[in-house]
Amino acid sequence: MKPAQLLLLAFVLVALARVIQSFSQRRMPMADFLFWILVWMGTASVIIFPDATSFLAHLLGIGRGADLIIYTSLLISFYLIFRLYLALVRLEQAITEVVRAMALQQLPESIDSRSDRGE
Amino acid sequence: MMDKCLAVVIPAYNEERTIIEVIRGLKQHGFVTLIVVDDGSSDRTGELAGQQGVILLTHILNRGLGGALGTGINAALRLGAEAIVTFDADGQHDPDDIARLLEPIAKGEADVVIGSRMLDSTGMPYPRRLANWTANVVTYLLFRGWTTDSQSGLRAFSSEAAARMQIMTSGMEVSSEIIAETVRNRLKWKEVPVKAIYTEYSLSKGQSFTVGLGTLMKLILARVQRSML
Repeated sequence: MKPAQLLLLAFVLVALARVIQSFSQRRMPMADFLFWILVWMGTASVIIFPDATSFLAHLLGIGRGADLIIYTSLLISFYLIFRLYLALVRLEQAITEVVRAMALQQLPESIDSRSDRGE
Repeated sequence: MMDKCLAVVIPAYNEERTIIEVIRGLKQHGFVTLIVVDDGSSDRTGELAGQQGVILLTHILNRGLGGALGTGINAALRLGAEAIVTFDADGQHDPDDIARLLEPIAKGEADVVIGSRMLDSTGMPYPRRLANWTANVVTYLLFRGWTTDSQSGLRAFSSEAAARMQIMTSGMEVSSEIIAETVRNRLKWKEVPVKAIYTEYSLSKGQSFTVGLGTLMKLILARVQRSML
């Protein structure tokens, strides 16, 4: 095993430990837990058996295994950024709703019952 | 229609230099129901507006123009307003124009009236004209509604029209979204020419080039979201 493989594997192990820790402390739902376990196990197997990616790459008509990894990681990153964007938009809208509800509590019952200060 | 059934919504963010003048101007023209939405200003906008005897609604956080307009329109509907006018707090509008804005609604000719600063654009600086024209083209391409001034802050709605609008965006992109909602709900709408009072101050409050680019991005995303609804 080459030094680069050992380093990368160590990183994956740390990530896996974090996933398991979050799940056992009930900070992560089951679906997320399975997703991340799959992602990091997949990453680990690619690190241990790099030739497997070359095989897959050839099947798909991509020259090198390393290229396949870069393409898929980019795709996954973009997808995650998109999910993050949607979550952020929902969060922003939720904040606006809370701020609006608080502002509307200042509203008088009807136009006639409003204060006539300064008129 | 210049009675209690009309509500004027004034979204205001850090407008302490102009807010009093704007409120006084509107009152002198006989408008009594003024709803000022202080959109989390860090200056004295809210305090000064409150002293003028308006309905003051305070956002504890800055939510942007769309957020403030949404709150103001919602409040106007709850108060039972029959028509709603939106009016910028930076002093660029002339209260004289409101009557002309309401006329098509009172006659039943339109549900939504946009006050266009471009039908008679004397006094508008050229870079501003170009920016406005770009915004109009973008609004048309995304939402199929052509106006000569898609970014105007001076508008009037019938209460039925206002109640049907679903405002989702929270920033400057709301101006185009209102046109999108008008088109989507198949509301009758028209433009009337209004004056724009361009002072150094009101010009400084407009969108800069970079803010405009951000607005463009958000509009495209809003268009995508709409197509997914």
